[in-house]
Amino acid sequence: MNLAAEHDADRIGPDRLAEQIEQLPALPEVVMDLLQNIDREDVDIGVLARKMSHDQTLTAKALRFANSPFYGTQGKISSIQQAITLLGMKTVRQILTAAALASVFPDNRCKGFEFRAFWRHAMGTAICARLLARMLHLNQDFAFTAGLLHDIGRLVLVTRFPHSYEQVIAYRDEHDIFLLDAERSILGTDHVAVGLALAERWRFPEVIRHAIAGHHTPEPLGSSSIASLVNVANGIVHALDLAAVDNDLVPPVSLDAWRNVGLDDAAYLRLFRETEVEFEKISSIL
Amino acid sequence: MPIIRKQVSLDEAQPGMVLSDALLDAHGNVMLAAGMELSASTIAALRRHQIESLSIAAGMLSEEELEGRRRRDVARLEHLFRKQGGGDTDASDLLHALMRRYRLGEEPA
Repeated sequence: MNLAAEHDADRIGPDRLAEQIEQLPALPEVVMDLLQNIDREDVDIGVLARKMSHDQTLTAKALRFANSPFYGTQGKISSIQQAITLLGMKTVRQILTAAALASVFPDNRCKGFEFRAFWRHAMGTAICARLLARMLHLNQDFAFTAGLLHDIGRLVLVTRFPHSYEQVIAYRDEHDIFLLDAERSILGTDHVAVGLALAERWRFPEVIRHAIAGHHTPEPLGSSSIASLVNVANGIVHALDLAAVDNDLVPPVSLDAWRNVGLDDAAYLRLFRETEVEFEKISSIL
Repeated sequence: MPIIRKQVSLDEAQPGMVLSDALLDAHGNVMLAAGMELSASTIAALRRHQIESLSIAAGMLSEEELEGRRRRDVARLEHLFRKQGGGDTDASDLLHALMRRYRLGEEPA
């Protein structure tokens, strides 16, 4: 059997990829604004709320997040303004990003791909990266968003190339290899490259692009400490089994990233516990 | 310590319940230490600080149950790390070793 020939139809060249990314719905304008101005806190709440009012789906999803036990609000939040008052702009930005992504990439039929597991992993990584940022006095907002978005390319592949991605998953299962390697074998590209293409299209800020690009292989010291955080958080969250995928594998953790993070053993043990505790609070809505 | 953790809302919290973990504020500072027994006045104070939920110790595991759980957790961990090991170019072995200590019940200092 000629495997290579059989998989030719599954190859995703730059043109096919660009065409599919072109066809993706745009992120809601309000979320684009928030992401592109991730380093700014002086967002006009009135304008934000007015833009949100045109998007009932996004508002409903965001309020569901805001009222989860994770934020400790216990169902008291009924509007975006109120969410900003009670939770602060940074938190609302995180909530809106998560809610918008869930709308742009709705569950579809790609056999073997579990959206719920994907979101559990993304949210776990976001939480772990944020806790790491807190320990290291880095920007927690960047860390959370970068953690949430690091695997975004996979959502593009699954929703735009569902049949090909089924082949990826079958190949992974057959050979018990990393999903990343199965992507390269079958598609000729991987979720990192695709994620970057999407990040360009959606004009994500540089810190997020670095984290997407470097979450498997962060460049040596200095490039972006957020990419290092996400690399380490990604490994931790796979090892904590938060997505609970049967044949999951912990990906290699970069030695450079590990040294960049530089926590002692006790701090790591605390981080594992806190990640589990924080994740537990949000897992009910994922 | 072989405790079972349970997340409860502040409304469900009762005097006599014991915190399973330190309660931290938004900056990561310890407000109440792990193992602290809740009193009516601590619960009222937490309400004033707008704390909404707590992780409490919901019971103890027997040594036997604990052993079983640890064996299961470590076996799962080995499965997840089945493609790692031996390489000196990455930190996976370091993470693996720390995670094993965590699963074997080592408490954060």
